[in-house]
Amino acid sequence: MERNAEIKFARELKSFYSLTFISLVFGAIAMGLSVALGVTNILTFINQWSPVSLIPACIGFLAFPFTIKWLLSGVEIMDGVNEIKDEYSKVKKGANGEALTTLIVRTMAQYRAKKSTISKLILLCKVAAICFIINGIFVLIQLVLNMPADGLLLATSLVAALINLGIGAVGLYIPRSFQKYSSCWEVRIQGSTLAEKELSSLMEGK
Amino acid sequence: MRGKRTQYEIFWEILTYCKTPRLFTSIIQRCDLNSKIGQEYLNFLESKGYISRMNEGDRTFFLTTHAAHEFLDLFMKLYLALFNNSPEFKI
Repeated sequence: MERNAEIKFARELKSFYSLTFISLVFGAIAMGLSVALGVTNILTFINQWSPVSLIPACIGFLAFPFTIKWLLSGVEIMDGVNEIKDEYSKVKKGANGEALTTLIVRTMAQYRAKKSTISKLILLCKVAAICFIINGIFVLIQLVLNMPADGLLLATSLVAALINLGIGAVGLYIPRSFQKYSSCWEVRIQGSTLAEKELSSLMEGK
Repeated sequence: MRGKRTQYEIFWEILTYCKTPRLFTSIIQRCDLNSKIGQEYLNFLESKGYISRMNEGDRTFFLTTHAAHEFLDLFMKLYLALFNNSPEFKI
């Protein structure tokens, strides 16, 4: 049972670390992209007096605070994952039932502490993702309505739309995975409440 | 940062740490407790017979007793089971 639990723990830790890392990377890309989107389109609006540029500019500036928060929440979660990873690497070679139970307790405590941050991250990612998807669709609509004759311009617009849609898709995938992580730990938290009753009756018998 | 733990999880941390004699300051540092709360937990565990005090000169050490093994075994059994029997997180 201990060996199985250790393998499962190691796999989960690796998966959660990867998810948090992906979230951080895409959070950073999304933040950069939102600034670029806002600034380039506001400049286009000022220079060419093109009101249509205001829409992506607004989307970019709207997404920006969400991407900042996305990034900060990711850093906060990563901090907790690294703590658990360090502790696991210390006991990895001789992980017995006791060491593993301590790791489970600490991961559970980390989850309880970071639960609200994870919920926040789920929401922020979704909002930012929706902003990028809307912008991707907007770029595609613009492309259909005013098909550029210049091949390079067409390719650039297509790439821009695909990048926006891609970031949006990842932005929707990340919260789904965090939700899966949360539901796994919620089951365990509920289990620990039942375990507490057994432990309490053992101690009361003393 | 230890995060949010239940009182039984804190008992587990104290009792596993005190399997070898420990000073009060080491316990509160390792288990991330303040001295008032740490003292309360140790007094409680002592009242249950799970921990004993040993005086060596002017220093007092805390040591997990044999009686605590029942709690530790049950705790480990329950937590390993709840981890094993829950769905696995995969991305």
